[in-house]
Amino acid sequence: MSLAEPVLEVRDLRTSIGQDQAIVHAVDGVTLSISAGETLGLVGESGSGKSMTAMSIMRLLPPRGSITGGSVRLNGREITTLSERDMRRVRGEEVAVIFQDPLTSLNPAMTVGDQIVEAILLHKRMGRSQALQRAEEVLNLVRVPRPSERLGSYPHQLSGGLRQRVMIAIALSCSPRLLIADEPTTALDVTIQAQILDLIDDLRRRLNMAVLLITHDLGVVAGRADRVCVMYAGRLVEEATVDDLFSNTHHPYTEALLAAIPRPADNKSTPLYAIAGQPPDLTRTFDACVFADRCRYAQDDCRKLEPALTAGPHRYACFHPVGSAAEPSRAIASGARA
Amino acid sequence: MIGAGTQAETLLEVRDLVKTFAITRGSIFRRRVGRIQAVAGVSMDVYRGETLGLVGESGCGKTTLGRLMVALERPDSGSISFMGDDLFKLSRRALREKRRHLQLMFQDPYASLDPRMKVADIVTEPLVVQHIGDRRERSLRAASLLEEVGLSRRVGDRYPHEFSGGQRQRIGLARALALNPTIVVADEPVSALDVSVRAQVLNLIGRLQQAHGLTYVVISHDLSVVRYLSDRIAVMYLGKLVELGPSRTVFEQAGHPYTAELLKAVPVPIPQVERAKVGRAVLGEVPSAADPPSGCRFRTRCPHAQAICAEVEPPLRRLRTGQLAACHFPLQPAA
Repeated sequence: MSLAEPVLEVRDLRTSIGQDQAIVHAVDGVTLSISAGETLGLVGESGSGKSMTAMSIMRLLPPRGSITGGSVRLNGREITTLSERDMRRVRGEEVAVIFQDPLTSLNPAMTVGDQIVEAILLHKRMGRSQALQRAEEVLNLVRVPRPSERLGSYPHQLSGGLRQRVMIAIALSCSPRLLIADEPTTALDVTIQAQILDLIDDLRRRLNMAVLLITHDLGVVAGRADRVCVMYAGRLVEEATVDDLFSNTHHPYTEALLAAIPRPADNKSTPLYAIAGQPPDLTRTFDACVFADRCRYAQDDCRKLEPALTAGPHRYACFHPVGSAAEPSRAIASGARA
Repeated sequence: MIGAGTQAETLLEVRDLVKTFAITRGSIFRRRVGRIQAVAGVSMDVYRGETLGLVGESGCGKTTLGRLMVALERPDSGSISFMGDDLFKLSRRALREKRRHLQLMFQDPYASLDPRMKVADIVTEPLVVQHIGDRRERSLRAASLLEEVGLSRRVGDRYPHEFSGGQRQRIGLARALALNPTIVVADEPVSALDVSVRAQVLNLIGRLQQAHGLTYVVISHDLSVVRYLSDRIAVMYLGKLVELGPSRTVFEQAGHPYTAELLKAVPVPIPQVERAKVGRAVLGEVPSAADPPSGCRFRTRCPHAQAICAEVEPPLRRLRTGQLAACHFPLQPAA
């Protein structure tokens, strides 16, 4: 833990969607924090609750979605209880978000310049020409070539990589302290992905921003995150520094995720480790480990009690962490492929 | 594994293949404003029993090449021979007969299955098209195909929306296998799937190849998937084949600078490796396929480009490491 107060502090966050019999507990007791200048990776598969965690922080939940418990503190201020009006000020000025597909988040009928200006004037008192100047500055900041010409372009005239740069420019136009990047490169080609990830990393350093990098790709967080949180079924199941998570994995789900990715030495004559079954139904409540049904290390206690996150810098929610019991730690890598 | 030099039966012979598409503007009065060469003179062979991985970024022409290989598109020029017969010189009837042996497995399991059709009908639709079997025979075939891809034979009466992404991809595989094809072209077979489900489907793809002696052409932007499945790799850039060779050679000793940049850009789950790459992404974007650069099409982004690269298009040449690469200054010495 750093001494400085974290930019974002989420405690025991609970978010549900739906009503009556069909309440999905999309986020169930998530605790995490990010300091200025730090990148926290948030990793999980579809439905794990990683995007809902982000949307809860932004207070941009879908209809019938609501935060049912816990706290979200941004720059020391509780935001779960803010009025919608105050929250609008927080978005953009203190926290901004970029999404996977910039084409659906950009207005197709407005020029790039107008969209950035609109974002600026929503928050800052300045004239239009001053805002336009600021728009050109932020396009320059995100390294859009020939920014003054681009101000007059429409989104469809730009490549996917440039559109994502414009989204980042809009996000940064009011200098937020926290940037949430939700699968920012999933829709992009790999060489462009590398450029955008480099850009986000460079901006974090130059602007001393806190970054929450949400992705399904463990490879994306490997080089860009300081710490990584792994989510499964609405819960945080493991958190560690990036090196610790990859080299000293504790949670069986994290281990299984890593084992499911083909390595350079693998070929189709050695089957990949596949996690059996499907993720659980989140309309249920659990009094057992949520991963127990799919876990190769599960024992009786895992099906009777839900493990809490351990304390300390490397946190994990498991009674029988990888490498602790009779099972050798690389059992999955060798055993399952035999 | 089929490497260069071994005697293998050639199933598909692709020669000087060109396919262009018109770019149109306007929704009512569509006018042609340009042409895109999606496939710009590609030649390669596909051998029996191998898995050929076709990689490249969006717009490189890999999907169009895949569709040409199963005769879903006709080329502007060039030819594809399947076991000696030029597919595009056959009569319609003869082509339909050949199509049985060439099946495409579609990209997106959500979009490629008809939501109003029962799973059994989806799986056996190719049999109906080819007038094979009666109702009872087809229903038996559906049951055995579903079982083969790891689904229960009873799911035939259900509709696609009742299945998860991984299960839908299994249904797509069952359909591709319905006619006992020789070659299956799989376009992004697992990109819509989560990591854990992806592993199950990749294992199934490998198992089915063993069981049926299938030949695969796997198209994907995901190089870890292609590397895992493929014996040989073909790398495309803006409609051109830039490198072709045994999977291991291409991955470990890339000959073309584009292959090297592409491989470097793929994130791997190893922090030390990824941190070393930060700030070193290849510059620029893929140029427009409607107006490709002169000479070598990669030269505008290539760290090794020199004057000749803008003037002369480099031919595919064999390298000492065994693969072919289209580069004036290959990263491995020429043979």
